[in-house]
Formats: sequence, structure tokens, C-alpha cells
Amino acid sequence: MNDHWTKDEDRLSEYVLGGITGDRLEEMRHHLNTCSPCRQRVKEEEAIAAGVRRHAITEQKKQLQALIGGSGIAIPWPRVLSIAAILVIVAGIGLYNRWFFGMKPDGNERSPMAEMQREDAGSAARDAEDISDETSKREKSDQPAATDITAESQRSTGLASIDEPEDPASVEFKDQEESRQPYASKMPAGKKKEWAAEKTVESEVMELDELNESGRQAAKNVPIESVMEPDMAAQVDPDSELLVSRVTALRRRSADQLPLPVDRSSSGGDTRPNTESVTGTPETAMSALRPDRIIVVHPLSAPDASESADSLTVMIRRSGDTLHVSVPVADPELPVRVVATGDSLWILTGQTVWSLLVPERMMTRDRKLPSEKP
Amino acid sequence: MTESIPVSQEEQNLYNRLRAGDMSALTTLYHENRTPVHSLVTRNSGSRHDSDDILHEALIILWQQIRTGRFELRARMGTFLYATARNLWLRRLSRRRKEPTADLSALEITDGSVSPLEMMVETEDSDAVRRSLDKLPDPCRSLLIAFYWEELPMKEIAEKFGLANAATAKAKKYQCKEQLKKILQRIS
Repeated sequence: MNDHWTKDEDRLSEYVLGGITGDRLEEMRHHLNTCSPCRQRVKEEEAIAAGVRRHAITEQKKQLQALIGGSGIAIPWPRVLSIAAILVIVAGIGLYNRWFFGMKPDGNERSPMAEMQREDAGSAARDAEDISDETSKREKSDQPAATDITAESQRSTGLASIDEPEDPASVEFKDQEESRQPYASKMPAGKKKEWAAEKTVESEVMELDELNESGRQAAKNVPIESVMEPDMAAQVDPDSELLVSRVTALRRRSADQLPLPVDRSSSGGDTRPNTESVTGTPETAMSALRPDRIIVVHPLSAPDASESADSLTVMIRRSGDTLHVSVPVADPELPVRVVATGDSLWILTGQTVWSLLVPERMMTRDRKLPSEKP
Repeated sequence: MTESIPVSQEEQNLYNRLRAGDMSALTTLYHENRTPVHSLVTRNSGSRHDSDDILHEALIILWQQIRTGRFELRARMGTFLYATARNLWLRRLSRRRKEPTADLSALEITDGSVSPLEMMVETEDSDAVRRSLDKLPDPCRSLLIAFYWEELPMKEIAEKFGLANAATAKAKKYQCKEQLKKILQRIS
């Protein structure tokens, strides 16, 4: 076949669409091998045919997709279900925590389960107190030192009043939330008391850590002059912070241990802006105790006061917690001074000095006092 | 020569429906062949969307082959679909990787499967023609589709488009093709 068959539209289309077979196809291909313009025409026709088919396939695919409908859009069900399961688990954990340990979503009130746990914790704390009391009584007869574990526990927690044999003073926290031991009530009695005591300590340490932070914030507003002599205050770092932490026993101290000269501390004009003298009972003092004041001295002079007339109560309020310290005093009419130093609270009653040791600084000016010696 | 294998009555019914132009029969084939094609495509760098697209295209090609009488029920339609989908996917992969257009002979063209022309439909030239066809007004566009895709004889085209006879249809098809070439030159 020597003619240019590609000039024939019918034959060209028939060739491109695959309608020619056998010997005839071989002859046409043979001619294409020898005719470059013919090959070009075939190529153009193939492109047109392919383009038209492409167009038709695209249109029909749309129709088919519409016919198949939703199955054309594959929803990754395994992935959707996995995400849903994770969300359910996370929500479940959240609800569990809120129910057993957390707060109600709308405010500060605890959830019912937390309330029940709180009640359990209260009884556990009482159990712990019982243990402490028994231990205290037992050790009172053996060794009157204030370094035993039970006393340390009390000092650390501040739950029980400190009752040391050589020291009639007592320290206790009020308005403080009881520690929480959720499963204490389910334990055997012996184990329960032991465990409760341990948990009480740990729990209260945590509470006091929180107290530290709030105390630090509150202390920023307390001027240094309010707790120190002006000439001493001038020597300390004004940027230091006042901290609140654990409480230890009130101890009688030698006057020469006082970081302030005795003559100066015993001189008049001892009432500083944050040291207020209130006459009445601790209850009336509580109502007058302003949150922004660190120290209040409450001489008990009323005859019907619950405390004996030969003692006074120092009350320190900080971040909703109130520390009561009963201090023996020879004469309630004598001026009383309270001084916060590096790691102690010093209470001067007449010629007697009491110190409230604070191992982790219940109240401290994080600064060095001048090394004055009496 | 391909040996015929016995086909089920269901397969035969499906084939008859497709031959009669019943597009809904394709949905049955789609669901029957979805899993193997999906597995093929996703194992070879494709997504589920790719596998659906390829299967749709293979179904359309099968349908066209059945209607034009090129596909005879000597083998299962699923076999044809799988082979077509495989070839289409290989072609598309080579395009995606911007490799030179593969030689058509290098592709596995199984008996009864995709023709070299089907393999051309995704070339750049054919894409330019497709875009030109979008700009081509009817009835020229429909006439060219009837000729090149549906492969209707000129006599039927004449009847379908209300033309006098096959010769008129042939002349009309030539005019439409020239019109398409002009558009193609313009957009190129």
C-alpha cells in the first residue's frame, strides 16, 4: 500500500480507534514507517480521540460517583472510632478525677465523693491525733524532749496543739481544711491509724506549700518597718520576701539569743503597725484580725477569758489560716513584742523571750539581721 | 487465544444489563471489586481516594468496551477491571513522578484490557484536547463524543443528531474536528 491512507478521514479514524486488524493493519503500519507526515497525522488523530475519550470518561465518572453516592466518599471509620474512643476515655478520666478528688464544675464546692472522703479524712486525722496524744503521753513520762517524731509530726502539720512538758505553750492551726485520706476507713484499725498519721503529715505539708505561695504574695505588701526597728530595717534587703511555712514548738529562750538587744526590745513603743494589742478572748480577736496583718498580740485580761490570766495568745493570720500560740506571761499588763527574724518568731513578754522555731520558715524575712550582740 | 471460562448466571445478567446501557449495574461491580483494587492502589503509594477514582475509571472503560462490543464475556469482568485499574494506576504513578511518558508497550496490556488509546487519555496532548472540547459548543462536542467515545457508526450518528444521512454526518464530524483543532491551536 503506497498511497497516503492517512488522508482518508474514515480510515484514519478507523485505525486510531482500533477498527483495523490483520494484514490490512500491517500494511498501514508499514506505510507509516516510511511516511513522516502520515505519522504526524496519526498522532494528531490519536490525541483528538484520546482527548474526547478523556472528556467523556470524566463526565461519566461524575455520573457514576453520583450513582454510587456516599460509597464514593470513603469515611475512615476505624480512624473515626479510634478518635471517639480516645475522647471517651479522656472524658471518663476527667469525670473520675472530678468525682473522686476534684471540685464541682461550677465552683468551689467539693463533689459528693470528695465530701465523703473529706469526712473519712477527718476521722483519720482524729485517729492520727489519738496516736499522737498517746505517743506524747507515753514519751512525756520517758523523755520530755521536743524532738520526738510525734511532736515533729504535730509541728509539721499544725493540726494538734504542741504540748511539750517544759513548755506550756501550745500551737494550733484553725480554719484549716482537714487532710484527706480517701481509703483510710477501709483499712484495718491498726494499720489505718498508722497510715492515717503518715498521710496527715504528708497532706498537710502539701497544704502548707500552698500556704507558702499565698503567704509570699500577701507579704509583698507588708513593709519591713512594720516588723522591725527602723534602724534595723534600714540594714536589710528590701526586696526579700516574707514566707510562711511549717511551725515548730514554742520554746523558752535565753535573752542573749534574741537577735535584738534586750534593752531596745524592752523599751517602750513596741506596737508596730502589724502588731496589735487586743483585749478580749481569742474569738473576739479573730474578728478584729485583719488578713493583711501578720501578728496580733492578744493579752487576756478579762476575768472570764477561757485562757488563764497568766498567759496571752499570739495570733497570726495568713491566707485563711490562723496560728494560735499561747505564751506564758508573768504580767499581762507588760508590753509584748513580736519580732519575725530569719527563721524564728520571737515573742518578748517582759524579760522573758519565747521563740517559735520555724524549720522551713513559717514566717521569715529572707534576709540577714545585723549581727548585733547584746 | 484466550480460553473461555464458565461465568455465573449473575455475571451474565450483569453483563446484559451493561450492554443494554444500564449504568446502575456498575454499582454492583464497584462493590464487588472495591477491595482488591483498593488493596492494589494503597499498596503502591496510593490513597483510598485514588483507588476509588481508578476503579470508577476502569468501570467506565469496561462499560464502554461492553457497549461497543469489544468486551465479550469470556472472562470475569472483575479480572478485566483489575487489569485495567492496574494499568491505569501504573500510568498515573509514572505521571506523578514526572517520569518521561512510559512506552505504551512497556505497560502490561492484557487481552481484553486497556487499549493503547486508553493509555493515551492521560497524556498532556489529550488533556489539551479535553480542555479544548470544553470550549467547543454543542452539537459538535456531543457529535465528537458519539464518534470517538461511543464509537457509533455514521448512520446512527446521523439519526441521533437529526442529520440527513451518514454522508452528512461524516461532513459534520469533519467540520467539528477542524473547529476543535482551531480551539486547540488557540489555547496552546
